[in-house]
Amino acid sequence: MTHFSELTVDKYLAGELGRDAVASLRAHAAECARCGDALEDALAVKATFVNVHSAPRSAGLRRARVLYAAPVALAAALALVVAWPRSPASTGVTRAKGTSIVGCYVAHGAAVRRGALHEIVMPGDRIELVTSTTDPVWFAAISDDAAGVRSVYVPATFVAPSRDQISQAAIELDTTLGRETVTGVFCELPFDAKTIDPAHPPAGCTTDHFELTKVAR
Amino acid sequence: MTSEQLDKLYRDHGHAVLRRARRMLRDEEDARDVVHDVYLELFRNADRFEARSSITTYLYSAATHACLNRLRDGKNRRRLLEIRTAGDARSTSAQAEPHALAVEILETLDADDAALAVYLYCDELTHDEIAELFGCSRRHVGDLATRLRQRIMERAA
Repeated sequence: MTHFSELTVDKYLAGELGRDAVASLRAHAAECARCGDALEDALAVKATFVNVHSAPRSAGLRRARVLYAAPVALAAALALVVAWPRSPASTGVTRAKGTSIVGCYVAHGAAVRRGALHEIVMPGDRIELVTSTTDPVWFAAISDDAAGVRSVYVPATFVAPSRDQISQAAIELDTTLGRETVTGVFCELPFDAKTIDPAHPPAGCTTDHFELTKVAR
Repeated sequence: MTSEQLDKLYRDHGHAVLRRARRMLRDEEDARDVVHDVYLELFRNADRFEARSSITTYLYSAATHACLNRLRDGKNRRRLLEIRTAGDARSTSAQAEPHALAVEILETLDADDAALAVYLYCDELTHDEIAELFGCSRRHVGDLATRLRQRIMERAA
């Protein structure tokens, strides 16, 4: 493969390349310093751009409110308040398979903590999702609450290889008590989070999850 | 196009426009202005995008034209020449002249020819990719490239 163009990189990041083209691009980037650097630079610009951009509120993703622009403040608070373990094993987050994991931080009033695998929360608490992945992936977060309601917390979004990448959305938990499972779905190609089944992800996808047990205040 | 749709396009693809503008303009403030110009134009003339198959292709082309427009601005042109010549002076003065000449030639080309020159000689895109950007056949791109080379040779002479 010859060097790939800037336009090809754009298409890759936009999820417009087919599976074969993606595989070819990744293989070439691994061997070619020029293209590897170009891809790395593009991923860095994308990651920075998303982080600094303040998107408007998106209404009605689910009953629990999804708050955009809030994560930056919460993440900043976390940096000051909590020094959490960094490895998957010590954070209590288990990995289903693959090299991508999802976790969360919980804000209860002014207190902020790293969410455990089985986290006790209350209505009105806010959670903020974080992902760690060794490969560029499309990530979505899907919730199944105690009432059997499935909600999309985060639609399929491109995530560059990173550790503890803060998601754009913070979720304010609603009043439905009981156990809620939050599943992170990680796929090589873009997908529709509304129709994918987290229990049976298609080829090219992996999942990871944690549980929230919501109790009354 | 609603403002929500525009915002999603901005969040999903704005980084690519910014990277493109940075590369062409080498100025952060101008690059960010170009990003906003491109999205403002997209909002005002959404049909131009909707007629295309790929948002990435549309934005790449729009960003290129927006950058070229900025480079045509007198201030930017002078700055570009200064950057080129200063950088080349550190190596050899002989190389500065072709760079300055290239900028001068780029200035005299019409918008489509200037974009084609950038695609061919700066971006090193394939004819297939350029055909997608122009919305024409690969063969037509070959014809355009031949004509462009002739024009450049005439101006260089």
